[in-house]
Amino acid sequence: MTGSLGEFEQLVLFAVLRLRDEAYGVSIRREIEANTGRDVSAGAVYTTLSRLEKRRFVSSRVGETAPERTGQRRKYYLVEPEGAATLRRSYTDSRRMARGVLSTLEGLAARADSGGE
Amino acid sequence: MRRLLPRDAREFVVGDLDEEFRRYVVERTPARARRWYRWQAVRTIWRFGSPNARVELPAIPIRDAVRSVLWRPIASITIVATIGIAVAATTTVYSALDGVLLTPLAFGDPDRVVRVSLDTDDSQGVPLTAGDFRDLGSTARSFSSVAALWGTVAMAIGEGRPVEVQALQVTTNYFATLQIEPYLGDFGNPHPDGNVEMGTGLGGDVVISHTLWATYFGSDPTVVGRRVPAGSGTVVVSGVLPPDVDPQTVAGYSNAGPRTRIDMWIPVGPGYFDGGNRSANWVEAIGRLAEGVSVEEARAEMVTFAMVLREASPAYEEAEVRVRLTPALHEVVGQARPTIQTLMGAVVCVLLIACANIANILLAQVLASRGDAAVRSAMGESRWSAFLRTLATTCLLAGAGGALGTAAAWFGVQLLRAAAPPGWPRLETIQIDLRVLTFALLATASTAILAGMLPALREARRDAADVLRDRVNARGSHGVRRSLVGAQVALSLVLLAGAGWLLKGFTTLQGVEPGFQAEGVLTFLYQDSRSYPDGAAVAAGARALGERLELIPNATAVGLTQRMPLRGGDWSGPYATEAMQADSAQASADYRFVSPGYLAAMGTSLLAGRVFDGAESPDMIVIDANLAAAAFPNENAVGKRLWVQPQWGGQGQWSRIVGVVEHMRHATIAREANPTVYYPIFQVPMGPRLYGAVRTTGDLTTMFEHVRDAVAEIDPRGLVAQPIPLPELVADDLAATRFTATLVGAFAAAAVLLAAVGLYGVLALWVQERRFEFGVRRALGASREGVVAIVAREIATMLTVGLVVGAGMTAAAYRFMESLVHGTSSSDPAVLVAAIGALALAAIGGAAIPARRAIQVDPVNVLRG
Repeated sequence: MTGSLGEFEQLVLFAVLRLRDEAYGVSIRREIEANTGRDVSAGAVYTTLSRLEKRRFVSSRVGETAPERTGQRRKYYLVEPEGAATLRRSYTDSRRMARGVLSTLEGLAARADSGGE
Repeated sequence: MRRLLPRDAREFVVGDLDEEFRRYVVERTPARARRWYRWQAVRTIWRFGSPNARVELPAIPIRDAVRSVLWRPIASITIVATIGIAVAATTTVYSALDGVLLTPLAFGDPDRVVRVSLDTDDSQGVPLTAGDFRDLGSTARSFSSVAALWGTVAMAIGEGRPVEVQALQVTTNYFATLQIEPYLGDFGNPHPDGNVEMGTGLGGDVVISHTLWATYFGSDPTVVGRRVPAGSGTVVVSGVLPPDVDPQTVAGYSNAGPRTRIDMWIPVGPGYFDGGNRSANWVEAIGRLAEGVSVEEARAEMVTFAMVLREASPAYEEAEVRVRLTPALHEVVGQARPTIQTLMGAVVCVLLIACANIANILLAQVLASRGDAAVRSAMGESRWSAFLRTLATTCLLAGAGGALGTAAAWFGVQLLRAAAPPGWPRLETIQIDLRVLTFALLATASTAILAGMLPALREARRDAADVLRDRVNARGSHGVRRSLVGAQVALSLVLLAGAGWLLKGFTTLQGVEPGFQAEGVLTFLYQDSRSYPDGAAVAAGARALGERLELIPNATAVGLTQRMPLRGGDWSGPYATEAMQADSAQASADYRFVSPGYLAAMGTSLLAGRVFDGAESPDMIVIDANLAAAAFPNENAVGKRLWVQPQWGGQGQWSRIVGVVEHMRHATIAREANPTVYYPIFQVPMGPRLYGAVRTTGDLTTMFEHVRDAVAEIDPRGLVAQPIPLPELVADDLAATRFTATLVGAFAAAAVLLAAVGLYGVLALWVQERRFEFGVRRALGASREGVVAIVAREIATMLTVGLVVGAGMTAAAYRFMESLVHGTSSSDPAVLVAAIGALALAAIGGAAIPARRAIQVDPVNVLRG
């Protein structure tokens, strides 16, 4: 019922939410890449989705195919209430914890960005 | 890839990857898209694949390899068998190379021990005289110690049924020079009698081999100090050699003879050489290089030492004697070295030819699977993984072949040890050990790389569009395949010519007249056990025995001598004609002391005068044709006088030549011996080790019983041993040449067969690829002969290059194996022409079927497609 979410799990859940009815492997991977600028491997997305589905945080349905998929159908994902609740709690927790330290965080992180290595 | 994904996810994952791949092809370049796809696929399988995917993913090239091996069972079996045979043969020969040539001798610091001998213009490795040896010990600074070995003694030891033992006389510092420590006891006191050979009996300390200790003395730890009856006296066991010291190795260059196994050593004190006699060369000297002295430095000193010797001895001055230093291992290994090296060269040629064949088969497979590979390539297989896939296939085949070959090499080694010619040194060191196994592994790996690299590179060098450019690609490959056949032809020619030379040498040797008629002659060793008061009594004792032997039933002739042909040992001394004497010049001849019946027993032809009849006086000699030609060119030697020195240290004497006989070859049938003087054995004290020869028309085995009975009447404790029919000695002498010729011949046959098969394969594919062209030509009116001409030109191209290169390599190979070949030379065109002819025949045989196919191309069928 409860439980925490890893960072990448959060990203995947958000991506599924953002994509509404259009969330499948390719779009999820691209959504995360587009919004975070990270290089995301397909394998990581599938592993995470399969884990989230096992915890009933997302559900899936088999959809249609497309010419560029050489006949292979897509698998679409939706966020389940259980997943939404966990994501919300997780996100809220993060936000609460961040309250009051954001400026410090910014300052410290800026140092890392500006070549503090 | 699909199989490695969870069943329920396959479709979506593969679909997703395909979808993204299409997009990337548009967004980026196709190449980058392919790279991305592969990378994502691998990572997805790795992270998301079914539970055993992580195991299976790296196994994909292996699985592909197994699949492609099983897919073409006949080709695969052919390749595995070829590699197996090649690896087995190479490994077996290498085991001999490793054991005989590379394993250090089993004594301390063996690289520092050299044999000291003399070279003259016409002979090499002549032993020293007693005087030379004494001088060597007292003047040479390059050695920390010098020791000598000489005079093998045969004796019966023990009570009851005595055991025959061969003993070698050595100086007391012999074992110290070799840095061999006793296993039990010590290396004894010098023999009190000094000269054991001269028939004064034994009585002193002896050292025995570990084998004799184990067999005869039952490994008795209290053996040291034991008195053992030996010959007419007793010996005292003072020490036992360690087990790992091979006595034959240590005695490797004594005059023991090819079938003699030394099991006892008689230490003799240094005083033995005080007399410094310079008339006979019988002392085998070894030296251990002093600290910090290199062999080259020692050789430099020996140049000076040779001057000393020449000054002391006029005969040496005449013969321009030089001193030779030979590393102990070289000396022990002797003629086996060039033999093994030649075999190794031959077997490596076979391995290379096998590699070329396998490469050809694999290349053909690569070509045959073009469609398959194009699909793989279109599916995104990288060049690297195509390369790996093909290489993995080869490695798999090579691995199987290598394992097979290594197992077969185990039998090969047993076979080699059993089939090796008698007298081959260090046979017991030939075995499969870690070094040999490493070699087998290396041979297998090189096969895989040599044979697999070309096909793998070719497999990797294409892209998806290759299917369309089918023909172009095949042509390019044909050039490679043609060069491979050329290389095979070249190597086969080298082997064939080499085998031809060896075979010709062998038949030449078989046809040599050795100066005796071997058939029907039994030779044996006789060791006198009687004691004599003086030299005259020794001679009388020999005469008594000789005369008793003459009475043996069924014997056509019986004779005694001190040195038997092909049974080792030598005996030389000076001679001079009256003309030479006037210039105070001398020359060297071999001396044979013979009983009246000896030359008749050996079947040596009398050319002029007569042989001894038992009534001769001490100033009569018989000489051989070579001595007659050297001393009295164009004259009748019979009746002439010759100055000879029949007794060591004795005065020389003028003797009258009563007869001339044909020259008898001694050490080997391959070489003439020195000019020879025959001296009546009953006129000098000679012994106690003599050889006998009995000629009979009857059975040789029962003849030996007769000999034994006759000797027992005269000398009950005397030893009659080592009955060897003379034909067997001849066979032994030829065995090494026969062995090399047989093996190289077998390798050459294998090489030619492989080359013919290779040619067949290449040509068959070439004809297959040009079916269309041939069909068109025929349709346009070309005759069958025209097609044959095209095929013949193709064969000629492959052959010519190979033959030209091969002929060049053959000359180099000849120089390498020159010492093994008798009676022929590299300029002998007959052998080379025969080899080229045989190879061309084999090539035509290999080409026949493809050529027929080319002729039978039906233009109608081809043009209809």
